[in-house]
Amino acid sequence: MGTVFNIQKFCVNDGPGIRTSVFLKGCPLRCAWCHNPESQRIAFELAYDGDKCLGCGRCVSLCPSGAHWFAGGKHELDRELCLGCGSCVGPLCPATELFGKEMSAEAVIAEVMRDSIFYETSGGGMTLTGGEPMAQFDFTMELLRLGKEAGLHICMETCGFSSAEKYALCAEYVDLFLWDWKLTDRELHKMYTGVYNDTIIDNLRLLDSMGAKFVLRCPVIPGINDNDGHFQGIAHVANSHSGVTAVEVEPYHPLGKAKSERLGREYSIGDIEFPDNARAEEWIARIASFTDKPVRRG
Amino acid sequence: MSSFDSLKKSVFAPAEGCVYAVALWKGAGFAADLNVPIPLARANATAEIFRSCPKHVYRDDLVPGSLRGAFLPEGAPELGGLSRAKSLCDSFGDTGFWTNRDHFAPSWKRLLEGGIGGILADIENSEKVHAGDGEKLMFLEACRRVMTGFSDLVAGYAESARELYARTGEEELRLAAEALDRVTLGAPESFRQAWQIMWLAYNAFCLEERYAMAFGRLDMYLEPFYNKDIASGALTREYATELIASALIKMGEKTSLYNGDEVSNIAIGGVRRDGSGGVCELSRVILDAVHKCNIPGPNLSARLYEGIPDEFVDECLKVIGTGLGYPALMNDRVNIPALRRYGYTEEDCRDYCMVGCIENFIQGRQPAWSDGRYNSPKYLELALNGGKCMLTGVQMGPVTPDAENIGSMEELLCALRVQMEYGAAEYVARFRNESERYSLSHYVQPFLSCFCDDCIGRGLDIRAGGAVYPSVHGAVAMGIGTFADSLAAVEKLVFNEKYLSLGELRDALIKNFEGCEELRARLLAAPKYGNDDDFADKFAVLFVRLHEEIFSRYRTFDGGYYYIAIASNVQNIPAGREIAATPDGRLSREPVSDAASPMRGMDMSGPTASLLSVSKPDYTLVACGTVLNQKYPPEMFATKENIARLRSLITAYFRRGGQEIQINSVSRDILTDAMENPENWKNLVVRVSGFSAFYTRLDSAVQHDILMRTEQKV
Repeated sequence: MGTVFNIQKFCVNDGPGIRTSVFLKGCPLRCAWCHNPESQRIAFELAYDGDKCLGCGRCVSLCPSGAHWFAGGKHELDRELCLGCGSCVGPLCPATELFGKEMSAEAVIAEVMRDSIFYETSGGGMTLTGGEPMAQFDFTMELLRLGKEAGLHICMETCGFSSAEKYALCAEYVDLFLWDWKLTDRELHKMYTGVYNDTIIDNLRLLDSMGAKFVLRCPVIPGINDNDGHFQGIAHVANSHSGVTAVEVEPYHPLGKAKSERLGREYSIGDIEFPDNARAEEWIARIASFTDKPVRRG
Repeated sequence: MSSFDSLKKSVFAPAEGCVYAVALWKGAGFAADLNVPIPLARANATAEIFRSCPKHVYRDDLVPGSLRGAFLPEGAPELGGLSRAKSLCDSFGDTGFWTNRDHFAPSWKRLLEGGIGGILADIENSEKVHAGDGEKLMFLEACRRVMTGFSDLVAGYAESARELYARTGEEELRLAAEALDRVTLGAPESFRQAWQIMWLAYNAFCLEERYAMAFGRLDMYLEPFYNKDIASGALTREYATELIASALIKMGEKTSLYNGDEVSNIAIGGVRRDGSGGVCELSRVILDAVHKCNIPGPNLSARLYEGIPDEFVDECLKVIGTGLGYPALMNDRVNIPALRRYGYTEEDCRDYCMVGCIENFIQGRQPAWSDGRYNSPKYLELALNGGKCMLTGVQMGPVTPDAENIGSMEELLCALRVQMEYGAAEYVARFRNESERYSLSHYVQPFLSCFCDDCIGRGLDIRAGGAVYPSVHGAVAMGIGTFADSLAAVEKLVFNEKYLSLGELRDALIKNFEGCEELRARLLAAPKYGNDDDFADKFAVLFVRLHEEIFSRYRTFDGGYYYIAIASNVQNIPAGREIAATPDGRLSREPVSDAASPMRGMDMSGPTASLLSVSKPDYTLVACGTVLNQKYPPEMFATKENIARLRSLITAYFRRGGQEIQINSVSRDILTDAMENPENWKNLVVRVSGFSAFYTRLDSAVQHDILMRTEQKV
């Protein structure tokens, strides 16, 4: 069994064709700009939006651990007490949402296969993403094996931060890695994601030598990594690994900010402007000037 | 300004201070001989309109034929006789939409092969065959008079074009006059002449006050002329596009002069009569021309078949992506077998086209189309309430068991069927009464008959047995989403979970959920059609089967069939006003779900799930046609890869048995802004349902409904 937080159909930005993306919970990185903060912890998590609270008090009576209560007519939530059981979540409450669902690999693949006709007509398939699929390695391996048995084209989006042995085991099942490359400078990488990037580049080199194929996915965050140094770094990684087929630029968007608030998390990078199309196109052109490999918007 | 833009501007100039005057000439036609038998009287009236209505030619026109002449300046002396003429016309009366008047695709073959002269020769031959049969001879004489009138109309345009040429020296006008001279009687020899005579026939139908007259398979009809002229070097692809666009742009007169709409269907692509693929260069020319016009009116449909060139579908999607909403995409592999059920030949089925919005039609071989609204979810309301209307308490349907005495889904479906059958009987009775009120001998249509096989050969009017196939009628079943979602919610909460009794549910519906907010939230959270969930989708499958079973036992006045349609246009809004709250959580009098689409905002699992749900019913039982509206954000049309994804999506949907899909590409932001600032968005054309329209001209309820249709997220 694994912990999934979303299975999204008709994904058109996560590999070729029409795809279904399976979002797995848990990630070893803590990127400051993460747009899926609900994916970071492996445990189930409750999101709560105070603006939508009806003040009905049902959650107080339903919660087995006393995490919800009312003070002076206002709803309060103690996340320390929350078990992530989801008792308070349901059609009657617009304010709560539970992230995380226990599923068997068979059930995930069965759900993915509902759209198989669209993969046939478009050359699409399944994309494992998250979170970080490698954070639930055994479950991911099961999904990969079952997916291949079902004839699926498989992409895996990964931050590259896991053990080399595990990546080597994955490689034969993954048709295309969507490989993150977030920051070239190792100290800044540590500062903004929580880990150094040495392991990531070692793993990329290993898989490249095994003949794996990659698309480099590069989040560009204004003020953090929108500089020539990093753009050249991206191009260098692309140029020096023959399996890298393309670079995709993912301009920052502030989706993670509101989500972090609902999850009771800190969003450390504060307000960053949402880059417009022209800015993104400039970045793409700049990176493209350093490499012959295709650079496009992700 | 290019000459096309200048033509477009002139077409859209309103006829200020002008009066619609067709009754003047029609009345004069009747008055010319008040003592002739009715077929001749009607022929005189039609011929007189054709002859006398002024022939307006625009300076930048390539293919003359305008309705501007039907409007006379206020104060024109002849208008003094208008009210008297109208009263005379009214006493003769006319057929209407329910009595096979319009929504018709002519048989163009004879006109293109032999010209007006060829049709007149056919009439003469038929007179010899039917010598001695007075009634037939009289009908044929009526046909001759209208065709002669039509010839006069063509000659009138030739003269107008020549006059304007003399004044302006525009070379195109001289060429137009030449083409017009040729087709005044003779068979068209060039692409330009063929298209010119078709366009004038369409105009003539409009002067007869017929609406939604289709061109049908325009690419198939004009292909021989196009290929011949391209081969000889007399025509280029670009010029052919100009010629098509120059005529079609004048459909804008329906907006600028009549303050109305036009839905003249043009079908491109599709398999040929022999079953081979029909997409040709002319299909692309027509697509380009309709795109160039960028107006509602030419209701373009593209027939997709297995093996259709990918790049043609991509071209269609690119045009859709401009926001025009055309073409609607039709599935040959469903429509052809659907029509085959009714005994038409295989070749005729392959040759189908659409009239009006999406109604399947055997081109030029059956009387004009008719359809009506059958308010399906209302019968569920009656079944839940012993046959009584929940809004008024009146016993509307047969007495069926009270909710308290319905113990299972099977019993509920049984009561539902009883209510639906009674509703269908009532529907058919109304339609039959209307049909029979218009006697076959009095309401003859000689001009229309000349474009329907084999009225001339048989010497019979189109409604009186002249057509190869009898009339068909489409019963348009409303609210498949509301119906399926409601039954799914009842099954889940009442019979499976026993959360409440059916009686309690009925009471909550009658109260419009007042004080039942928790119940309503649970009903809204029940499985919904449009999410690839069989629990709800099985009732959509049932919906189609039930309607087909119920309507297939009826016949039209001349022995034809009742088709069903799952295509509400904007009728889902008035249909909803007649219906109390429903078990899917919909509030009283709110619109029911649109066409075959899931209920607004309820298909939350993305477009693939939505398409899988919609393709579950057997649409070969829906011979009239389906409408599925989907809206995608503009970025889905922005790259080659995304266009290919959309194409793959449609290919899969059609392989699964989807019948039709039409796509809007505008974003919600644009629509919202257009509602707030209509003046900035006057040219915004959106696909409404079976047709496109100027968004800012739609009433706000319809605008709101389009806005609410889920924008499929990417």
